[in-house]
Amino acid sequence: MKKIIIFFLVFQNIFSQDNLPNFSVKLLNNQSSNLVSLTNEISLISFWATWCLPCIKEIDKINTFVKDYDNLSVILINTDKAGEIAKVKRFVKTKRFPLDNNYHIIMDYNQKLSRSFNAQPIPLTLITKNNRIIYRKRGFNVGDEIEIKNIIEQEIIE
Amino acid sequence: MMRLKLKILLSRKSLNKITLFPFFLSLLFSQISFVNELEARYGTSENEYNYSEIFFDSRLILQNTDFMIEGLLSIEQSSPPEIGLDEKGLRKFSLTYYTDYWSVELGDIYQTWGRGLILNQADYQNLDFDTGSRGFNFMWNKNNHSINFIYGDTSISHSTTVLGNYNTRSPNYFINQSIYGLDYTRSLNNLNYGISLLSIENENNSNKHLLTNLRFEKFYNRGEMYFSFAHKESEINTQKNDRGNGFYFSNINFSDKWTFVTNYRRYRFDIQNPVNKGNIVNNHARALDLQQSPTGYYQHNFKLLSRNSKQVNLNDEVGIELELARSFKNSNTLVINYIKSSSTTGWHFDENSDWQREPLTTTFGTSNSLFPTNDKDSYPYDEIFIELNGYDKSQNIFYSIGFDFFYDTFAVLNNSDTREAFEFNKAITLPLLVNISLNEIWNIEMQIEMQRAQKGFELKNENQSSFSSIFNKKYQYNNYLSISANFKQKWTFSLSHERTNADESLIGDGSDIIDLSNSWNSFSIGYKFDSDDSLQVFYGSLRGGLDCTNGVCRYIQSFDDGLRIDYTSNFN
Repeated sequence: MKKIIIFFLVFQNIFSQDNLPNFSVKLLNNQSSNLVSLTNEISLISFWATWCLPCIKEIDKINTFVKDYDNLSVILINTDKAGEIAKVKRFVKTKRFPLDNNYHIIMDYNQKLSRSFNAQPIPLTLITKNNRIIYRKRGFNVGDEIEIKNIIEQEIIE
Repeated sequence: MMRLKLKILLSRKSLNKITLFPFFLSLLFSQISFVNELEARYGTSENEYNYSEIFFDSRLILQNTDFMIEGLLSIEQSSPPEIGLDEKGLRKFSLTYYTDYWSVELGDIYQTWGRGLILNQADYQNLDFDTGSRGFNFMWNKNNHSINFIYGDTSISHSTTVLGNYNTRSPNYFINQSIYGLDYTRSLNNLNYGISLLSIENENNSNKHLLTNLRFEKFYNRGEMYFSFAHKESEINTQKNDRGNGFYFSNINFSDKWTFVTNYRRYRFDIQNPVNKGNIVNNHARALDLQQSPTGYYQHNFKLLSRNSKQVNLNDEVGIELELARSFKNSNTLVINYIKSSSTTGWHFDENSDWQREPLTTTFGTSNSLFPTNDKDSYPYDEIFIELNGYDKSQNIFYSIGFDFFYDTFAVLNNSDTREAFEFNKAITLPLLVNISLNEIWNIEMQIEMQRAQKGFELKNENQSSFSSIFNKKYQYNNYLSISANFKQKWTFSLSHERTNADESLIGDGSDIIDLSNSWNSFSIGYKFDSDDSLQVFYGSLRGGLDCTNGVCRYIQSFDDGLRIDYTSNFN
């Protein structure tokens, strides 16, 4: 037990960075891709579901400013049950999510990403810079988007 | 003395190895990441809903240009947990090796094949529902061909009144299964198709099940459609004596402003009469917990609506779901959702008071086996939900207002030529949520829900119909109010109040008690130290009832006059 604890402590002190794992993923439009290939210099990643009201409020808020930044990529990882894909598509269409080359929706059917990022309970929001996680936040209150926006701006300026 | 010296030397050697190992890894891998999450939860209440649990999750990822290794470790120390059995030690683990085209995973595996009609493994800790397999998974994906192989053991638990020692919080029925299966998917530009085979053997009673699935998905300019068919062959007591199947169809069409979704499902995995329907212990051919097929179920955001959910029968059900949605300015959205379902057959008493199957009928009285009906003996269920949500022009006010009508016949008690008795639940609910950003410092949210419900028995005796409520009142009125304020994104203060004029509550031993009226009040304070650490302290009462996640529901007992403390921290 002592050895395990020392190992963890040494390991954590040496490797305190958190890089984005390069998983293969399935997008809402049926395309296959890799998580890292969807990222940009700065990326905003959010785990969400159609039934999660705080998630929806967060996405609505970030959608108001994400298109102001050219080198920002938005990756929304959906955790709805596989049988709900039609509802997810309806939701994305009705809410007019600005899907393009810098705005992606991943369907996490197997909960692979959810488990890797320990995403439950949602929403879980991450900001990455050059694929390194620099910000991690669980839950959403209106107003949190200001903090998210500030971090993005700050990192873009740097 | 010599021994002691040797021990010190050995421990130094071991320490050197431990310290050198990470450095050695850093030479091998260009990127190494290590993330941990700690969650500590404590609760104590007057009705002895006490729990104390600590979860520690750790993730290690080693990446190189050609491959990646991921290790996951989840440790739980709970005595007792909020829900489930005591756990002390390793809860979950997995080790996965990825290359560009294939991956191998050892440990706790979760897979979804064919939108869940054949395999849908999930881990919902809040419901103590876990259908993951401990074993081996191999995936290969290249040139739009995908092959997936799974082999492992599952341990699934349930709380059921069929067995003794029923308790709403801890399970009393355990199923151990050994599974293996193969899935193949071909993805083309506008078309996907796939086939799956899954073999399951119960370790408790040697029953065997073989599931096959065929699916097809087509994408077109303004929509897409999906078909899935599953067949199950069960060998019960070493005899091949049961067959079942399920069919699921989904279609979505888009126009500039409107979206229209149609879902149809017909499951006939295990058709049982009203007496045996709920017996999950002895119905060996029932739909497997691993399946979790697409359900005709609307997951609501609102408190009273989610507690009034329909418990979907994956064994014997035919249903349709229609959803129409339209978007307006300022992210305003209108959603109209209609769900209708029933069992695929009706039930009628013969002259010996034995249940006999009866064909479903249409509204014109003709025989029907493909669509849900209103026949009372076939568990009819109808729900209409209309929701309008969006923002004001300044985007500072978010609102969501809805209307819900719910009708569910969930028990067929008697249906003979002279007498009928059905148990049903009917409710109308009006929910409203408003969130106002006063300024950059204060944000206020208010939720009001009003519900009028009717729960009881519809009786018919020699052409005389009557209604008998399970309460001593004709209608149950439920009201819920919550107000929360967020200050500087650091502090959250919440107050909630719920009251009813009649309540049915399940207590520990499974017997029903009826309260004439009741109310539940609570207050909570949350503090966010930074984006990684938060603390929440709750005091008060919470009403019991159904808690559902993605269509999986469980009865949660009430929490009376107590304290809850939750602390979450992420660190690396």
